[in-house]
Amino acid sequence: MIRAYIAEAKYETLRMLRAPAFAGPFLVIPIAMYLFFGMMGGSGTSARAESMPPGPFLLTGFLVMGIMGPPLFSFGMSMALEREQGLLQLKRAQPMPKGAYLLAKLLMSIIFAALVATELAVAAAFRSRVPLTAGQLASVGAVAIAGTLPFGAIGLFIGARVSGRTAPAFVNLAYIPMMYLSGLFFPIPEGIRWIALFSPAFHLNQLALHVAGTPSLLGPAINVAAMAGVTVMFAGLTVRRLVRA
Amino acid sequence: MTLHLTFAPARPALAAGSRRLLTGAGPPFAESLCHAAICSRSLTHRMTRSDSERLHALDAVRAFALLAGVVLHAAMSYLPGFTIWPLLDRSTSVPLALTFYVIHIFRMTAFFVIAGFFGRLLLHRHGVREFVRNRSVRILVPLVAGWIVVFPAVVATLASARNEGPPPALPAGLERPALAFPLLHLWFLYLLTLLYALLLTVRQGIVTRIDRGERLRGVLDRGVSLAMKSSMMPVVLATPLAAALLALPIWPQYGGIPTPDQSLIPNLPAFVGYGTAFAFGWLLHRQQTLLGLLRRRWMLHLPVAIALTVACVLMIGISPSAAASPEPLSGLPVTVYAACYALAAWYWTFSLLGIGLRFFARESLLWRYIADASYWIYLAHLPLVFLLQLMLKNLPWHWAVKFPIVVSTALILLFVSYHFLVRFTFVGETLNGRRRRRDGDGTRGETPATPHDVVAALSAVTKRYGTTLALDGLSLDVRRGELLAVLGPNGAGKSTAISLLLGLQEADSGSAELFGLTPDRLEARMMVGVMMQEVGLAPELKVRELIDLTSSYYPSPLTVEQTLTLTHTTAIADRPFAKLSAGQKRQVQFALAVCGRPSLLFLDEPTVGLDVQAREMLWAVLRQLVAQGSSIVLTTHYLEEAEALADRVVVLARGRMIASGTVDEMRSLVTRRRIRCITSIAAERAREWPGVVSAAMDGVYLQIVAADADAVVRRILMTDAEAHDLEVHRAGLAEAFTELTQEAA
Repeated sequence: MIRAYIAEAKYETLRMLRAPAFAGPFLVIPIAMYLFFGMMGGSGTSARAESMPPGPFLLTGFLVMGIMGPPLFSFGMSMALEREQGLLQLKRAQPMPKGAYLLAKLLMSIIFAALVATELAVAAAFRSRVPLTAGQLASVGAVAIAGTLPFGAIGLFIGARVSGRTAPAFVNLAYIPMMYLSGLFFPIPEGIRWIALFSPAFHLNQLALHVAGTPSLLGPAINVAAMAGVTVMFAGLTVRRLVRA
Repeated sequence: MTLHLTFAPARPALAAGSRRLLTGAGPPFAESLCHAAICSRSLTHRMTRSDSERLHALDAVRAFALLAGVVLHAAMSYLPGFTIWPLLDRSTSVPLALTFYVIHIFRMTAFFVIAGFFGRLLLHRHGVREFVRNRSVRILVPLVAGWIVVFPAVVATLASARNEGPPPALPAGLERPALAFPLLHLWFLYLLTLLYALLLTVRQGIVTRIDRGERLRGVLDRGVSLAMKSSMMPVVLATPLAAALLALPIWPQYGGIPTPDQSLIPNLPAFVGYGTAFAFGWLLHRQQTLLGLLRRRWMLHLPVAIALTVACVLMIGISPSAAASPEPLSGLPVTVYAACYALAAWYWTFSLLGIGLRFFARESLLWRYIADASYWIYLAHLPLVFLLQLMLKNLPWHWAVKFPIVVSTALILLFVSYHFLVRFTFVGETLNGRRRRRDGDGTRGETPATPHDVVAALSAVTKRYGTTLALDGLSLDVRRGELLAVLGPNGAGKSTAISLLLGLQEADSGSAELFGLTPDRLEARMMVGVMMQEVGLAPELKVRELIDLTSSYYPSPLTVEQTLTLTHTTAIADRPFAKLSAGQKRQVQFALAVCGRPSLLFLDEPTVGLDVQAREMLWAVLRQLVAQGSSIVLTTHYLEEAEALADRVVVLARGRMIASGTVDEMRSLVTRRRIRCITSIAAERAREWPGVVSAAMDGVYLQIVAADADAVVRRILMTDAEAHDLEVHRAGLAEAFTELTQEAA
C-alpha cells in the first residue's frame, strides 16, 4: 500500500520535472524575476527603485508566484487531461489506493514549492538586503509548503469539471488574475483592494511576510482561516462531485 | 427468438458452499430466525455475498448503537445539573456530559433506521403472518417480560437510594403526562411495536389497495434516490424532527429528543423523529444500491456531523441542564438550534451507517457475537448500571475512576451472563433466534474449491444511461481458469458490463461481485489486471517506469524485468511512452495488465492495432496464463480471436445475454451451412429455392448459404446431375454471431 503511494508520488514528480512546459516556468521564472527586480532595486538611488517594495516583499511575492503554479496546473490541467484520456478511469480500475493519485499531485506540488523556496532562499542569502535569519527562512519555507493546499483544491475543482482542451484557459483564468490582484509585486488599485480578501495568494503572501517579520495586515489567524476555508470549500465541492460521478 | 442456453456449472454445490461461508458455522445456524431490529443471520442464506455484507455492516452498527446506550446511561450519573437522572454522583464531569450529548443525538435514530430496513427485509422474505409472529416473539415478548423483570429491580435500587435523601424534583413543566407509564429504557421496543402496527395497517390497508401498480411507490423511490444523490436527504429527514421539537410546549434543549417516553402515548418528537428514521430504513431497503452511497460518503458526512454538533454545543453551552432554556440561545433563535440538532442526528446516522458499511461489512465471528449479545445487554443493563452508580456515588473518587468502573463492570457482567445464561438457552432463542452449539470449529469458512469457482459475477444487473437501457437484467459468471470471450455488436453493453465488474460504475439494480466482494474493494481489484481501449498513459514516463508504477499497486507483482520478458517489451523498456508506435503502446498496456500477477484479467479489444507477430505473442501469453489457472475476460471484434482462444463465448445484444456456450456449441446453434459447387445452375434461380438464405457466384463456384442444407443439396443434384466439387461447410463463429445478433435485434 505505502509502496503504491510512494511510487505514485515519485513518478508524478519525475513526469513533471521532465515536462519542460511545466518545470520551466515554475522553477525558472520566479527566481529570474526576483534576481532581475532585485538588481534594479540594488542600484539604490533611482526613482524606480524607490517605488519598489523593500525587503522581504519581493522574496515572498515571487515565492507565492512559484508556489501557486504547480498545484493549480497539475490538479487543474493534468487531471482534466488524464480524465479525458481515460488514465483516471484505468487507475480506478487498477488497485491504486484512492488517495494515492491526489496525494501524488500534492506531494509533487510540495516538492516544487520546496525547490522554488530553496532557490529564492539561496538568492536572498546572496543579497544582503534581505535580513532574514535562517529560522525565518525555514518558517517561510514551511508556510510555502502549506500554501500549496488551497491552490491544489482550486485546481482540483477545475480539473474535475472541465475538459482537457479548455482546462488551460480555465486554469489561467484563475492563475493570472490571482497573481496580479493579490498585491504580490505592486499595490492593488485603490478601489478594488477588497478583491484581495478573496484571494488565497494574498493570504499566503501575508502569512509569508508575517513569519518573515513584517506583521500581517489582518493577523495570521485570519490568513490561515481564509486559506483553510478555500481549501475545504473547493475540495469539498469536488469530492462531492467525484463521489457522485 | 431469444436463445437462453446455460451450460451450467455446479451451481447448487457452490451455493451451498457460499451459504456455509456466510452463516459462519453452516447448518446449525440455518434455522435460526432474526431478532429485534435485527439480526441478519437467517436472512443471509439465500442472498448474494454483497447483500450479506450489508447485513453484517448494519448488524454491527445496531450493536454499536445499543452498546453506546449502556455508556450513555452510565455517564448520566456524572452530568452536573442534569437532574433527570435519579442517581447523581458527587463527582461531575464535562467530558462525560459531552459524551452523553453526542451519543444521545444519534443512537436511536440510527437504531430505528436499521429497524426499518430489517423490518422490510423480513416482511418481504417471509410474508405478513411470519412478520407478525416473528416481531411478537422478538420485540413484544422482550418488552413485556423485560419490563416485568427490570422494573422491580430498578425500583428496588432506587428505593435504597431514596433512604439517603429526597429524589431531585422534576424540572418545572415536566409534570406527569397523560397515560403515564414508566416504560424505562424499554420505551424503544414499545415505540417500535407501535410503528410496526402502524406500518402494517398503512401497507395492508391503504398502500396495497390504492397503489396496485406500484406507481406511487415508484415515484417515492425516485424521490428518495434523488434526495440521496443530491445530498438533500438529511435536510428532508431532519425537517419533521426539528418541527416536532419546536412544537413542544416546553423543550429542554440539552436533552434533544425527550426520551425515555414517560407515557403510553409517545411524545411528539420521538414519534416523528424515530418514525421518520424507521420509514427511511424501510425505503432504503427498497433501493439497496443507495447503501453504496452511504458507504462512499462517510468521510463527507462525519465532518458535517461533528461540525453541527460543535455548533449545537456552542449554542446550548457546555454544561448540561434539564430545563428549557429561554430564547434565544447564545443570541440565536431556538429554531437554529433545533435545525442544527436535527441535522446533526441525521448526519451522525448517515456517517455511522457509512462507516459500518465501509469497515464492518465482512463477516467476523467477534462482531457476530457482539451483535447477538448486544440486544440482551441493552435490555438487562439498566438495573445493573443503577446499582453500580449507587454503590459508587458517595465515594470520594474522581469520575475518571468511577465511570470506567461502572462501564467495564457492567459490560463484563453482562457479557458473562450472556455467554453462560442466555446464549444457548430459551432466552437467547427468544431474543436472537434458535442457535445450537457448534460441534467443531474447524469447518468454518471453507469454500469447496470446485473447478468452476466463480471469480466474478453480475447478477440481474440493470444499467441505464438516460433513456438508453445499456444492460437489461444481465447475469454473467466468470469462472476460475477460463477464458471467456464477450461478443456483441457495438452498443451491446460489453463495456458497461466490464466497467460494472471493475467498480467503475454502479448498477441501477442487481449486483456485481469480484472474488466475492463488491468491485470497489481494493482487495478484490488487487487480484485483477486491466487493459482498456484507448488510454493515454503518462507520456513522459519510460515503459520500465510505467510497469514499476503499476506493479506498486499489487501485493506480489512480477519484477519489472519479468514483465518485460513475458510481454516481449524489453527492447522498448527505456523509451518514453510518447515515443512508441500505436502497436507498442498496446503492448505496454498489456504489460501493465499482467504485471501484478492477477488471477483475473479484463482485456478490452487487446489486439486492435497489433501486427500479426505481436498478436501471436499476446495469444501465447494468454494461453500460458490460463494454463496457470488465471481467468481472462476478453471482448473482441475479431471472431477468429474468440475462436482461437475462448473456452466459452457469451454473446450480448441490447444489454442481454442472447447465447452462451463453447465455440463449438455456438456454432452448432446455427443450422446454416455454406454450400459450394461447380454447376450450371444460375445463382438467381437458386436464390428462389426454399431453404436458401443467399446465393452468389464466386468465380466458377456457386456459393449458397442454406438454412436447410440437406434439402438444398438434394435439389442441386436433382436439377443438375453434372454438378461437381460439392462442399458443405458448417457455419463459422462469424456466421453464428451474425445470425444470433440479427435475431435478437
